[in-house]
Order: sequence, then structure tokens, then C-alpha cells
Amino acid sequence: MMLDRHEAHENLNQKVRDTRDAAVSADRPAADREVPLPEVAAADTITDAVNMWLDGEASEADAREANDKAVQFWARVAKDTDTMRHVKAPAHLMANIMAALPGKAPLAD
Amino acid sequence: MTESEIPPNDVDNDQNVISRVLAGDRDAFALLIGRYSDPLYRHALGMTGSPDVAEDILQTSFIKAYHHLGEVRGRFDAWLFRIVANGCKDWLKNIRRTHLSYDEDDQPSGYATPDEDLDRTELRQDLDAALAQLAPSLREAFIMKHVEGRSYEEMADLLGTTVGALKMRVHRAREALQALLEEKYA
Repeated sequence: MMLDRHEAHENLNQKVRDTRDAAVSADRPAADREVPLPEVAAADTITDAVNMWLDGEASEADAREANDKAVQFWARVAKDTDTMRHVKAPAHLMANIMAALPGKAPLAD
Repeated sequence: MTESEIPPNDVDNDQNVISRVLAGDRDAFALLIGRYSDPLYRHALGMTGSPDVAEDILQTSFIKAYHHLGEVRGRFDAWLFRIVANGCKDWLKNIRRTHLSYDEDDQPSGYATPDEDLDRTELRQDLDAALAQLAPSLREAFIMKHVEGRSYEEMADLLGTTVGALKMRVHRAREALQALLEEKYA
């Protein structure tokens, strides 16, 4: 009986912990939670071959053989990130920074 | 030593420029801004998703760098990168703490002209939104690898961590982004 009561008590504590954890988790942004973001079917997850291809360690053919859908997706993303790679800082930024600097030289350490 | 006495290849290297600034040549600091503002702006834009915020972070970071220029030890570019990267992470922390979220309609694009702005793809917008859902460390690793085109070795050098840890972060970021976007785009 003692054992049963002890187990029941533990179960109750577990329920309290679960409720508390869920409440804490709900207050935190999704990205901070140590759980995968969405549920993903195993077949849709990115494979090692695709990661190796994206890291330049495997051929596209190998990656396509492993997960053609993922290769198509990352090829589209790559086109977009290539565009982002050519974004430049606004032309006025340098003048703004220079205007905000103090007149005297920084202290040498 | 006058500039004409410095070997040509060394005239504009970071350490020489820093020495000039510390000696009172304030305008020489513009060389460092010109050299590093584009890649650092891309980093800040990728991390925050907002051109205005990216610009503020860069301005604050360069001013901070100027004040502490005498403390630079080793590579200036890595030191400056860490200032900007920390500025981005601080901004992300604050925006989460205060539950502020920037409205997509308030975000001007990072492109220079209206024509280029029209070319901003739906995928780019979705990618920005998906990146915003990642933990800052995953987003940082993904941006450095895929947007800035850095090698893992360079990333490890800049962030002071291991290649293995960064590969793990990039792989986790890819996994999450693919899960969020694949249904629509694959």
C-alpha cells in the first residue's frame, strides 16, 4: 500500500510537473524550445547525402538519389540566398557613422 | 613613419589603418567601414530581417569599435564581427523579451532600388519568416553558411567554436527550414 501511495504521489507530482512545464514552455518562443519545430515525416527529413551535397562533400547526383525532393527545394533556396549575398549596405551608412564619431582619437591601450 | 615609407601592400592593412586612427587620423576609420560594412550589413540583415535594424546595429557597432580600437588584439575583422554578431543577438533577445514583433508590412527590403524590390520573391519572404522561427544560434549559422557563403573553418574562427558544432547547427537549421517550407516549395 505504501508503495502504491508512493507511486500515486509520484504520478501526481509528474502531472504537476507536466502542467508546469507546459505552462513555462507556452510562454517561451517556439525557437527557444528544445523540441523539433514541426512534425516531419521521416521521408521528408533532410538526409545525410543532401547535407553533404550542400556542404560540398558529395555530388548532386548522390543527393538526388537519396532525396530528389529535398535537392529541388534547396536548389530554389540557393537561388534566393545568392541574391541576398549581393545586398550592399546603404550608401549613406558610412557618412552617418563618420558624423557620429567623436572628434578626438580613441585611446591607445 | 609616413605613408610613403610603408610597403605598398601594407599601406591599407587593418593594423596600419588602426595605427593611423589611434594616432589621430580619424578619417582613416572610413577605410575600415568601407572594407567591412557590406558583409556585416548582410549578416545583420539576415539575423534581424529588418534593414533599419541592421543599419542601426552596424552604426552602433562601428562607433563602439572606434571607441575601443586601442583594445584590438589579433584580427580586427573577427573582433568587429563579434561586436556586430552580439548586437544582433542582443536585439533578438530584447525583441523576444518584450514580445515585440515587427510587422511584415513595416519591413522595407534590403534591396537598393524599387525595381530590385519588385523582384523580391515570395520564397524570400517565406524564408525570412521561417528564419525568424529558428533559435538565434541556428539562424546565425545558417546565414553565415548560406547567405554569406563562409566556410565552416571561417565560421569556427569567427565564432570561436568548432567546425563540428557549426555543422550540427547548420544541419538543424536546414532540417527546420525544410520542414517549414518544403510543402509549399518542393
